[in-house]
Amino acid sequence: MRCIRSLLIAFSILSVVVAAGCTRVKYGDPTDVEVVTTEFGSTDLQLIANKMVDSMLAFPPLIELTADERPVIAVDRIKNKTTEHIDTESVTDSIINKIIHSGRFRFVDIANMDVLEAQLVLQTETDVFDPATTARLGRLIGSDYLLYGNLSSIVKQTKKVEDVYYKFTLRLTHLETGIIEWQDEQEIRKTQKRSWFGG
Amino acid sequence: MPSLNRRLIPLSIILLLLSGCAGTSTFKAYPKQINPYIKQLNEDKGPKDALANLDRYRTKQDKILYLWERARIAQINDDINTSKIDYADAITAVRAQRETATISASSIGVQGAALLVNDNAIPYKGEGYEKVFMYHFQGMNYLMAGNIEGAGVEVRRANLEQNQALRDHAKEVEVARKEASNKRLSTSSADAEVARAYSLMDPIVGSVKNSFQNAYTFYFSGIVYELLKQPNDAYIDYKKAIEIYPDNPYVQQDVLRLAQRLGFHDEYTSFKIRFGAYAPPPPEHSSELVIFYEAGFVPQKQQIKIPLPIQGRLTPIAFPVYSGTVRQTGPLQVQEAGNVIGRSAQIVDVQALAAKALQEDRSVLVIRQILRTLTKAGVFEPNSRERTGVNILASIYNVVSENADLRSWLTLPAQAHIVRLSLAPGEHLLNLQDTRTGGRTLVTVMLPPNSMTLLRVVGAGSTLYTQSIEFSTS
Repeated sequence: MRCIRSLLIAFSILSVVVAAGCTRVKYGDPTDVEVVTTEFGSTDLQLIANKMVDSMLAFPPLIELTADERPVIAVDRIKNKTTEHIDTESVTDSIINKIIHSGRFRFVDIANMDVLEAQLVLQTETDVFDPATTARLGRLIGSDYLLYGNLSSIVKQTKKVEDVYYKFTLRLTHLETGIIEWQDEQEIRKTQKRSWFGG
Repeated sequence: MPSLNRRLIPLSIILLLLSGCAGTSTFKAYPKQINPYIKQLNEDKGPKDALANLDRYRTKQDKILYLWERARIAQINDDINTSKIDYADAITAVRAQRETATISASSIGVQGAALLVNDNAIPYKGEGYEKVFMYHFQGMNYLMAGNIEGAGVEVRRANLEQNQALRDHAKEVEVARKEASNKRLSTSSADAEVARAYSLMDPIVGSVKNSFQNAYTFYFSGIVYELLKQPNDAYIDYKKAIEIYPDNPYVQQDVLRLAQRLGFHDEYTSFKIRFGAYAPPPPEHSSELVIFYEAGFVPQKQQIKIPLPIQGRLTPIAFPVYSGTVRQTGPLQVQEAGNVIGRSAQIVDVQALAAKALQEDRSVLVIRQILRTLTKAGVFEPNSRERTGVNILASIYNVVSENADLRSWLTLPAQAHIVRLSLAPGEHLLNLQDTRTGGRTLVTVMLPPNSMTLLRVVGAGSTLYTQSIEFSTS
């Protein structure tokens, strides 16, 4: 009997603990380190974007180049060559965002060129807009530089360990001359060990 | 204490059944559940019934298997969105399974249940060749939706899986052997008996070296890399495909073409000695048509009882096996305006991979079956001699519960073939016919200049399902 009673008590305590653990939603700091898996996550994204932009902006020839003018850059989408479906557009956006805020470069939006074109055509070929205020066709600014890159990965797996090495390469090329003005690589290595015991 | 023990076995069995922890196919053979849907595919009856019924299993312990079937049925019926979601869920489940701790509390429980009932109580993990197809077909979904980069991710995963399957398998064999030696079991004579029975599968296994290296996936991967404008990566995968299928004339031309284009002169020369020179198409044939033909459905496992010497007595034990009958499909003949313009060449024999996988699993199966028989008979428990009543009950239970594990992905094709043609740009009305099954269909493909058009054909019974998409190569 005593055994059953202690079991009942244990069960009641367990119920209370389980009930207390119901789903809750809370706001978190986006710069906090996320729960780590070997997949590419938000921390990796921030890490890469920050390091890349810092490296680019601190590059002496580029400091010299942007001393008196703000060169125009076009950005090509980052190629995903990894084994994860990564939203590389989001990585690109974070990088552009930081470069724009440095105030040293200007960007042309080639990724959304079709949307821009449709808007220009709408303004110039319909009579609903005031002609004095409409944007004119053929005045988009050509870029001086192209920023492009790729994200690749090497995965090594055993029963107990998964090791993923991500390499992000970004390059700034002068369009007229083809000269690579700047390039950098950022590497992230993530290792996940499986424990011997678990749920 | 003996009286308590006497009640324990039937009680645990009843509990097991009531708690529902036995798998969905523990007592009803898996093929019986899927065959109605295969029949519907053969008769072109649409996927509605199958998709609704299979959806119920997406949270069950064998979810990987049911998600695969559902994803493939949706894909054949051109419901790419449903198929993509299901494959993605299956991929998540496979990864979760791999990421769980090496010895997890839940898996100990399940192994325990499997030791008392049968192998169907172990959650389905999937064979290496099936996981490779999972990534391959998900890649196909991305490609058919026009997302080449997404397809690239999936083919890289498929590649990784092909490398990993070998290591996983070696580890599994080692664990089973350790378990047998801990329990002081000698399984060699039983293993030899089962090996003899399994040699009946040799004709369908043919010359396949291992179960997970799949030339079709390598070829598909090569196509994706060519579309991604990574010819060097494409060349590597075509080379892997040609090692497995050296007689495929289309792959021969691909390795010759790329070796020449990439300037690998020594390799070009050695391929030229093996396969003859590269024959470039006339310049006006700037459009390429690649046909993937997935024919028939992979054979299903059957149950046989093999008498094995256990504890000095011959005991009939249930094992899964594939019948030794070799089933062939194709070739697919491509006709235009009454002329045969192409004939498909085989690139994978899935039935051979499935049979080879079963042969590779043999020693693990034997150890587990013997352990189960002994556990059911209470041999590992103390005072077993005094528990005659329990032994009789266990013997009856053994007969009732002893079912071989017949689970496998059943909507996979039996074989796959490829055709690769260079044609003049424009509209082409093609007459496709499987010369063996008689299945035929008319399909119109639009080939823009400097493009690659992919045409996927799935043969089910005498029905041919088709899907196509064009990509610019300029």
